[in-house]
Amino acid sequence: MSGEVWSGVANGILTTVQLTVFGFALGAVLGVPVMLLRVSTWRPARWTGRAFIELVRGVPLIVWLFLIYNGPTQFDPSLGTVFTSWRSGVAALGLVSAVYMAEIYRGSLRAINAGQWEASQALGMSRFDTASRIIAPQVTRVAVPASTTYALSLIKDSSLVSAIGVFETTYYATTISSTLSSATPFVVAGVYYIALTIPAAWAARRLDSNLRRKVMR
Amino acid sequence: MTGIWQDFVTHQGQLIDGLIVSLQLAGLTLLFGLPGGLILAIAGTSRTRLTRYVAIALTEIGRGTPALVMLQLVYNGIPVTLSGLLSAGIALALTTAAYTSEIMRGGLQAVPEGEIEAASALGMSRWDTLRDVVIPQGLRIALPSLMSFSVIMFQATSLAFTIAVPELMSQAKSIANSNFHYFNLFIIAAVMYAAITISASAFTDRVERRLSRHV
Repeated sequence: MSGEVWSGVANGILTTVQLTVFGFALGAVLGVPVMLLRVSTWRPARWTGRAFIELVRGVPLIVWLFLIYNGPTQFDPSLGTVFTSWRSGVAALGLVSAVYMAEIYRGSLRAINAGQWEASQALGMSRFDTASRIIAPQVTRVAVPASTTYALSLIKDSSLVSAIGVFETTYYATTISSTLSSATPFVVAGVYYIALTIPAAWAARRLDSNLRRKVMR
Repeated sequence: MTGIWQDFVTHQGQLIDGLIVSLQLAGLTLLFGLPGGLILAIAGTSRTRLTRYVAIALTEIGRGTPALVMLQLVYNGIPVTLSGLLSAGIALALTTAAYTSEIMRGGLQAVPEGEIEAASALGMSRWDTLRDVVIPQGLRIALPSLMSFSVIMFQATSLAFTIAVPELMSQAKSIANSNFHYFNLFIIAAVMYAAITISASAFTDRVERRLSRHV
């Protein structure tokens, strides 16, 4: 376990973090319209939302990565400069995160008491105001633990992006492993991933308990 | 659309062979992974502190390491030369064992305490109680979650293309590399994966509803 392997694989840590953060941010934003479709009272919208969620979840992330990265070049090879490996990686992570986040939001929405809607209506608030000022803040807070668990698993899922050539932790491990023809770089990568999740899990727990305390007050 | 169908018809033999390899790999993964998960789950509740700590450490390592890294580690790291399929099966089984042990532990702990007390009142040994009372009921509780996790592991078999296992993803990719119909081939692969996973999820939902009917 030479120091070069440790520092070599470490070159990818920042990219792994960036992929996770951008992918999660994209998913957290896009998850809102997907969830709204899924819970719509208008049947065609609800079915569209449901079909979209099932389809995106039913296909492995690696297939989405290659579909977004290589797919467009079938029609015009110059599209390869638009769908770079970095952009395709973030887009695929964002797409998959969007449907998982939509389901998390939906679950949290169900946890909100129906009395909140009725009380707001009794006070004469419009549906939009109720949704944005009363329901949304509560949904956000309820969704925090599940969202952070998902974000932690996204750190590991971001390793798949190495397959389309984004220079992140697993990519460096693969290249160093093939030059040294040893498996040590993968042990190092595993240690880095575990090391990344530990402080992230700690921060997630703190965020949750802080929010909880704010509400209690 | 006609282009996609055309590509499917032309290469259907290769693609279906790939899907069969994917399913075999998923079977191999669950064959090794689920018993491993049960062992870890039982060891995690052991009275001996050492056993318990080892089980918890293995679970945390297995859950903290990405499946892709596990795959490369087993493929490159084991000095004996294994076939790609077998290494992929072992690697994914390790991940499966780590994740399912948590699911199974939840199931085992959900078995009411009174059942265990009743068994000991009848003079059953700890091991017999575990085997005949706790495990059958605990696994039944855990079944829906185990099934949906199995669907996730079926999707994860697509990672095996990185170590040249001729499963669905690698077949689609190799065909696409020769005819440059990347979009068509990956759409076909996506539809084939979705066909399996969506029907498996629907089946899981049915099982879940059936099991909860008597609760």
